[in-house]
Amino acid sequence: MPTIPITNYEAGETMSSADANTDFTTIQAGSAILDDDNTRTEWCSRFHLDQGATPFINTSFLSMEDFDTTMAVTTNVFSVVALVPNFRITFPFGLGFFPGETLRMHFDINAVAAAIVSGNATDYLTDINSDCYQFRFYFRDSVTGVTAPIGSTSTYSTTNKTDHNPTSTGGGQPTAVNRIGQRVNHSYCWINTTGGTINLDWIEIRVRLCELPFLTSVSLKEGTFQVFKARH
Amino acid sequence: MPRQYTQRTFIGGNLANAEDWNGELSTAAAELSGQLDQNNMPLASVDDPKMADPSTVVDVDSTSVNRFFIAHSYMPTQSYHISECSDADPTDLTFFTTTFNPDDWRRAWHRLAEKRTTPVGGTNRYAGSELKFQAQEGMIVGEILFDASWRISYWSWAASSEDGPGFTGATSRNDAFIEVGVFVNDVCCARTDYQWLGGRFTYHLPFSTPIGTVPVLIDIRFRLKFDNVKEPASGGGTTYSIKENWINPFQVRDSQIWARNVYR
Repeated sequence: MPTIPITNYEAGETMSSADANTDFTTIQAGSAILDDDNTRTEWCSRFHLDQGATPFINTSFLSMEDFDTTMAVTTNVFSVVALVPNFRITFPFGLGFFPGETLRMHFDINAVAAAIVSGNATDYLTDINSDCYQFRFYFRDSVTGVTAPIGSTSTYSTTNKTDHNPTSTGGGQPTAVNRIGQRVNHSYCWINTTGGTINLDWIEIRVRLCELPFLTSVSLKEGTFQVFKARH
Repeated sequence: MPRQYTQRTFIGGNLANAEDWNGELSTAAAELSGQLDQNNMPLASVDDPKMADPSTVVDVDSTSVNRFFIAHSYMPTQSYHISECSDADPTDLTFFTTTFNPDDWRRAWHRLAEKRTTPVGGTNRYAGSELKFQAQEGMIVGEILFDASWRISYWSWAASSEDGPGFTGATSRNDAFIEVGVFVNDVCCARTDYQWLGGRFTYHLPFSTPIGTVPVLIDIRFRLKFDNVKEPASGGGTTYSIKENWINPFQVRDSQIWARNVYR
């Protein structure tokens, strides 16, 4: 409703009641269908936003943490970070993740111990991921029932071993030494570019050992996990 | 136009002057026709249904195992942007985005995007290592993910008299350090300082900076520091020579940049 036409009268001209009524009716009707053509640029300040009980710029925020329990990761299959409770954020009635919305996920935890097979010849094989553990986010769609990974991975070594197996005799290669006590993170910013709504049942952080058997266990403790959605 | 006043009062029993009538009604109509301003609007009146929905733009989304993905979401008060290079199949342990061999190393910052060898959509680019968008005045806050691998290297020293199979010399480890930085329009906005990197490690580096209404290029850069070990001390007629050295390349796997442009 960009403009409201009104009748202009010349001096001495007799205005009709029909024209006058039409003008007032036009104004009345137009005032109910205002759009951005009716307002000045940047008329809206943050004080005009109805923040309500929960600000809707970032509409949803959920977090969890645990500092008491320890998880020993012993498999090379992705499984949920199982402190107490499991690091899975479940949306009680499902969360509509609408097109263009953004979901931010942040996770961090301490790797407090690692068990490696020391002295094994495979210590020095060329597969450089054999001493690594890895994190990745997963979600479940409550409508389709599909569980799928999200985004990239974060990967960390437990040793400083080389990736090379020297052929020279006499050995003397650098020794694989545990790297423990490191704070590790994983995060992702997920923009829904599918054009459709994704119905989120839950989001969780999973961990695995990249390979077996050189690295047999990594212990995790003291983690935090946050998820929030941005809409406006 | 915050306020509207009656300029001409019509008196009962008088004829209405056309000029007065036109002026009064034009003022009211003009206000509605594009002059409504902050003072006309009640505070806290804009709720969720009145806000415009986000709109997205996807620059690149390769469907290959090595996923290059650049997307933007524009919202009324902010915009989100992500550039990501990841391996959709984490069981594929051979995937590396970029390899910097020792011949590539410099003493200054390396720009991850400087190695453009993979065409995506007809353009050579490394998604995940740079992010371009049109910013609006306000702040940019974001974070990078940088999955880097630089395995420990070593030099084997052999005594000169034993340069054959009977190796009894020393083996020394070299220390490798990395510094990761985030650059916004070539200005360093966040850096890690030197971190010891004797393996594979993923860095999450948050950053923030004020920004004007300008085109923005955000990219990841890194510096490598390689400490060579000293040659073992010679003495008693024994000298040492390098029996074997093994210098590992620096490799990058997953990487991502996301940024939130908070409008003023």
